[in-house]
Amino acid sequence: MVGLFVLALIIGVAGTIAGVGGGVLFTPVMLGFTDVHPDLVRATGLAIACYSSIMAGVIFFKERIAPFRLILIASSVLLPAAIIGSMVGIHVAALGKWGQGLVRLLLGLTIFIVVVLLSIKKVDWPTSRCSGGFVKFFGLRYIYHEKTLNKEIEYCPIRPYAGLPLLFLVGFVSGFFGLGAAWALIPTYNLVMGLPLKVAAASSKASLAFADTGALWVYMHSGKVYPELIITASLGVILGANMGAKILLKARVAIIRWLIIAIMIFNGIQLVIRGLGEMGII
Amino acid sequence: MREADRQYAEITKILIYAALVILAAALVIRITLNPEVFTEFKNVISGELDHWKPEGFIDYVPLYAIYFINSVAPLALVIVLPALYRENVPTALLATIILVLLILVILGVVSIRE
Repeated sequence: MVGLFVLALIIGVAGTIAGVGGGVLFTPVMLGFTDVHPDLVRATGLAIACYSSIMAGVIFFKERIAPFRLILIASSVLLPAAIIGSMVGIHVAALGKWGQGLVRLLLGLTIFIVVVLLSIKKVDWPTSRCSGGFVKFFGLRYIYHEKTLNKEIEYCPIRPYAGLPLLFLVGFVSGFFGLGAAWALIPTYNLVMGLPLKVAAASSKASLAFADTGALWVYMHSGKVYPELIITASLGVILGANMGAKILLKARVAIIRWLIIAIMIFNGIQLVIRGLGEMGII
Repeated sequence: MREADRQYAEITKILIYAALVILAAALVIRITLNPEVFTEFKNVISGELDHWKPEGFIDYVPLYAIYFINSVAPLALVIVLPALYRENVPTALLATIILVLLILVILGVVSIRE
């Protein structure tokens, strides 16, 4: 139990420094390198992503860096998707060794997509006109004070017809794998929906509170949670994330970030090989 | 009158920190009062255990602690719903749909039965 706490602590620190979040590292590491049942790992991963998201909301909604009403609109898509994802995930893992292998294989492939999305160049200040019907209807014109520029920044989401279907996909993946989803939400909010990078990053961290709450309850009702695993890992990752945020101010972030990405690639390869092995393909 | 986003941030702050303290306390209580936890935990780590159900009274302590932390987001949303209706009705309606769905999941209406 102490070992799990230390591992979760390291994941929390590393995930924050690398900018991927502890919830994204926990599930692949546990599924790749331990024998813990995939359902228990995914439920724990969901708990980490959910609690971290709630804690992020405390800061970002107060500072108005994350738009609360947009998060609610996003949650109306993310929540059903995450619930469906968790149900499908439990059904697939119930297929036995083959199903568990499939989960590992798909997660390994998802890790490669995560690495690609993390490497995509984002836009700091995308130009978005706040005059659309969607913005007016839901009151999504926001202003926050950008300290680095010392000025008020106006922003609003655009292209909801493209962004919301992508959010459904993100919610499904989060529920299915028990994964945090900042890696997918940041490019969606920034490049598709036109939010400034800082707002997109904050929104992505605060987006999964409702969606992962729903998905987690599905796991709870199915008896797919083990309390000591959830409590130890959640407390470890949350504490680690706080430590990571402090280290972030002093550390050489670029080197650590590439190191974490290298570990993720290795983890992805390992998951694919193990998954194919369990499915009897190799 | 406080806006919904700031109100939500303040409520979740109180609830989530209280929930984390309760979680830690629940862990200590179960470890202290149920010596079989370590054997059970070993079985989880070795992959022998794929699901868990509470058996004795002590087992319900961490379970209820997890129930509580899993209810933080919906609880906070219930509290800010009136403020949200004052600010923007369409978003408040969406929030109500989210709440209804969450309540259905929490009550086990939307779930998998084995």
